[in-house]
Amino acid sequence: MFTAPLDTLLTFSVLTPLIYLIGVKAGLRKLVDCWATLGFAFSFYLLYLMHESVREKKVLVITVANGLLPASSVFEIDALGFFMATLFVFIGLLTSFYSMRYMERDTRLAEYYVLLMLMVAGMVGVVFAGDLLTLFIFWETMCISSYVLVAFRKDRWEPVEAGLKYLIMSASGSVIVLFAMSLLYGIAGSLNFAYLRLAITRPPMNAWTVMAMALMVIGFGIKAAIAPLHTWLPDAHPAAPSSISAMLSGVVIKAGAYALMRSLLLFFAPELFNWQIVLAIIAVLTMTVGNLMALPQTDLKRLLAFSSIAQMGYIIFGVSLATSSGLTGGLFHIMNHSIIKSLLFLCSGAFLYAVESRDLNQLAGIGKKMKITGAMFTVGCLSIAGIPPLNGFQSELMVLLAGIGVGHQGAIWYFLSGLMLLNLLFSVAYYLRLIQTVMIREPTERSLKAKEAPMAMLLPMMLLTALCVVAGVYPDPFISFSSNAAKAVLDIGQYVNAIVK
Amino acid sequence: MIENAETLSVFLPAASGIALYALGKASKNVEKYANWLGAIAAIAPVILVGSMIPDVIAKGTIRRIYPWIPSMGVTFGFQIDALSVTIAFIIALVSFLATVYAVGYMAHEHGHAGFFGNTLLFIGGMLGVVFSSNLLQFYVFWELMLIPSYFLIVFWGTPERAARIGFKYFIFTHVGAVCLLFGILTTFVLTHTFEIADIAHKMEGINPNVAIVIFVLMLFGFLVKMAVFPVHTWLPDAHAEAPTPISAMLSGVMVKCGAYAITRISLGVFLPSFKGVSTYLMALAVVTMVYGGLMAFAQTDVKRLFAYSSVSQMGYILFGLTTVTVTGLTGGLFHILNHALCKALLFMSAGILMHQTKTRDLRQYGGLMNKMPMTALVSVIGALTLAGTPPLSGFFSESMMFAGGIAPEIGVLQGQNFLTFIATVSAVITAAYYLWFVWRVFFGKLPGHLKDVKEAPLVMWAPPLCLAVMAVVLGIYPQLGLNLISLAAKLILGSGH
Repeated sequence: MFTAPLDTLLTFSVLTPLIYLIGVKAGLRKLVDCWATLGFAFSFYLLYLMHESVREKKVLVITVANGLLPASSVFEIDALGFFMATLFVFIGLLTSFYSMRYMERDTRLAEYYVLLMLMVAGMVGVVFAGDLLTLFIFWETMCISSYVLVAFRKDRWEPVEAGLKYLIMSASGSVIVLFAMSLLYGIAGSLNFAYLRLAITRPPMNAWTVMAMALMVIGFGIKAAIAPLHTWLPDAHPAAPSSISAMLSGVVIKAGAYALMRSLLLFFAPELFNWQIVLAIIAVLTMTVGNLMALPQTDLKRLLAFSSIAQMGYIIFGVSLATSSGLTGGLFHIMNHSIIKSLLFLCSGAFLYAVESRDLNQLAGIGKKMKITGAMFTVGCLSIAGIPPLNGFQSELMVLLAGIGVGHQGAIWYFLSGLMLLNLLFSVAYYLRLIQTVMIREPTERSLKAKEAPMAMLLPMMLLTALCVVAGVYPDPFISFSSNAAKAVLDIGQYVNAIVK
Repeated sequence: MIENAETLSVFLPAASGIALYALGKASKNVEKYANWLGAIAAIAPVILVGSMIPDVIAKGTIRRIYPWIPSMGVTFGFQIDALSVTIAFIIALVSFLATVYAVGYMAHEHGHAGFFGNTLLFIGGMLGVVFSSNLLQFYVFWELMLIPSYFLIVFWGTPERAARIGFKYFIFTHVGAVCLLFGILTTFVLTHTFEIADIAHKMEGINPNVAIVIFVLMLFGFLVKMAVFPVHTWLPDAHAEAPTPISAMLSGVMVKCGAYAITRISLGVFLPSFKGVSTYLMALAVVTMVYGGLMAFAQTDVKRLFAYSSVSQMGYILFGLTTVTVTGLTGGLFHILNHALCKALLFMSAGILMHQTKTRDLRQYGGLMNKMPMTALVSVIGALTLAGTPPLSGFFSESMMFAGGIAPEIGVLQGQNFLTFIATVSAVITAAYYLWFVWRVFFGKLPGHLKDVKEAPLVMWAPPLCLAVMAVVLGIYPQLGLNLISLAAKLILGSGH
């Protein structure tokens, strides 16, 4: 019906309650966890099988239920969509594996895995979508699953409040996107991406298209947590179970970044609409807010959440350059940040699992008792701080280089790149403080009780740590992957011609 | 030269450091012998770099380039010439001796595998900086030097203050490094290459104002690492509170990487910009010399005394570099050598004093000449060398630096002779505090509480003795060091024209 990986995720997700029931009856406690992990693994494998055809044909067009273009729902998969989908399913797989032990003290696991798989299915659908309606349907699937997952531990007030705040803000964002979509439909007569591109760029730009662009940026921007629309994130990410925080920070906000990227580059051509500098300023604002607010935090997960906001600033800065090198840097940073931030949230989950606290003052010195987790946490912090030869350095370098590279278009780009550099510097202060708190300070009474995390939680973290090191020391294959995706999104002709014959 | 000596000299210590750390966590036996294993592993770079010296004297510059990140056009290369091999050799040698010293000094400390693992990684990082042939690789190793040294300070430094001081060290050095990065990236955007050897030609077409900005950005990074006034404030804390063998390495060789970087990049690549500001830099150097010297006078903690002395001595080295003459530069580079040998030696003897008398306070020492003859001997030699006493090597390096300061080659820079005069006066300050140190500690009356002090074990006084012997030999026969160094100076200044 849809593409194979997406179908797999949806099927597995729908069958999960049944499997849960079987597991309960047969006395196999972890059956549903294994089922979900299997689903992700199978989906990842199917994605892998797809990569040949994406590389060959450049753009895969799949209409749903043999419908007729341009009215029907269509999936248009290019290298960018494939890149993002791979990332989403991979992190989903690791999270699911991790949840096997992490979530064992919770109840309602059937709901958890259904929602997790639906959320990833929604995200994959968003990046595969070739028309706005399909995108919106899958977008909402993703959003609604994530609202419930944030509020998953509903017996405490914090997740419920955070979930409600997130729901209201994100739903507003969705409504704004819907309104923008309706304006675009009015202008173009179609919701299909390719046709929209042709329609919007043909006549000169007018107030309606600019308003549609602004509304789309705001709507998608709420999800991507750009300032000043980011205020839901610092509450939602800490309140969610840590495996979900890893997903939220690692991939859900990247779906927002994808939507921004695709809509700005495809519908609202940079040459006509000149949104680069405005977006860059928004990006720098986002980074600054994220970094400054992270400095005084004492809650580990809240600090990591603000850090995610700052990192989204770096990513959007790369996107705002609208050049191949800028986009490559931005996409590479999307990949690296997903890896690193998931690692950091999974480690904080391990700390929570061991001592039931997120307070940095209580967690002091816990790295001395949980040595493996502590070491991986240190690698993650060093990487996101941009210390060579880890992966965070490589992608931040690329974005900076691209930023300075467009300086000839206007001195403001040098200034903005300098501000990004300053932000990178600020951030080192709080990442270093994290390392010092966790690894170096004297253990508190609470941290002395900590035991090392179980293997099922350590394995995904180890894989992510290994990726941090490998992508830092030998980044070439990862850079090519990002670069192909960047070239694909900039190659508008190829994208449009796949639909409009 | 041993096959692939340059690659091995960088990666062998780094890899063995990581292996030692990992195996030490896994096995109790490895943890027990980690100290000797570390010391043995540290000898490899000495042999490898030593094998490169005859080749460099015979053939001149050797470059080895390997592909690294083809999609960004970045290679992984090694530049083996008179300058890099000299500095690399001194790094390897001093680090090896400091590691042997650490076997004795750290005997009662915890976490040997981690300590020696980090030390080896640190050595690999420093050698990587010196041998890098392109700026990106240089930056990677520059930051890579920072991490193991940071961990060494926070985990094994003076307990109450280590975390705060490590943090300050990291942030200071990182700020400098980030400015350096901005300079490197801007250079890449303007010249489309990271290769150090190619940048000088390509800079010719660039607007000199832009070149000055890049130059200043990069220089700032180097100056922070070199602890020049006013960005020196991290050094007295970091060097004083680090574990002593690491202080010996930090003061002895790590800050020299900053001087190496100024020589290689600021002088070698950006010579026209350098000439434009050399008088200001010289003034900065003189301020550093005097400030460091006066602060050293005021210290009562033996390691802080040597730390401030390092600040002052780095001022000397910077002075030599800013004369932009062959004589001055030769003097500066030779002083890098001498200071590395002698400051490491002095820190080691400070460590011996601390270890044997259980106090760091200079006011508690006195008359230790009879109780600790070996320590006294090596300290006196180290102190006199750095004070500039003939016939020790320090005299030659200082005289060459000052000669460079008044040489007419640089032309009509105002105030240069005046600055050289102040520098010479500062040499008096240096001599004063060193002699006062020697007097206070080793001569005079032995106080009651030190009656039972014994000499340190062999493994702790043998390394400083080796260093002292080298200082004496270089003093009597400086040509041993100077053949390579004068080649290096001519290479750098010659290539800029």
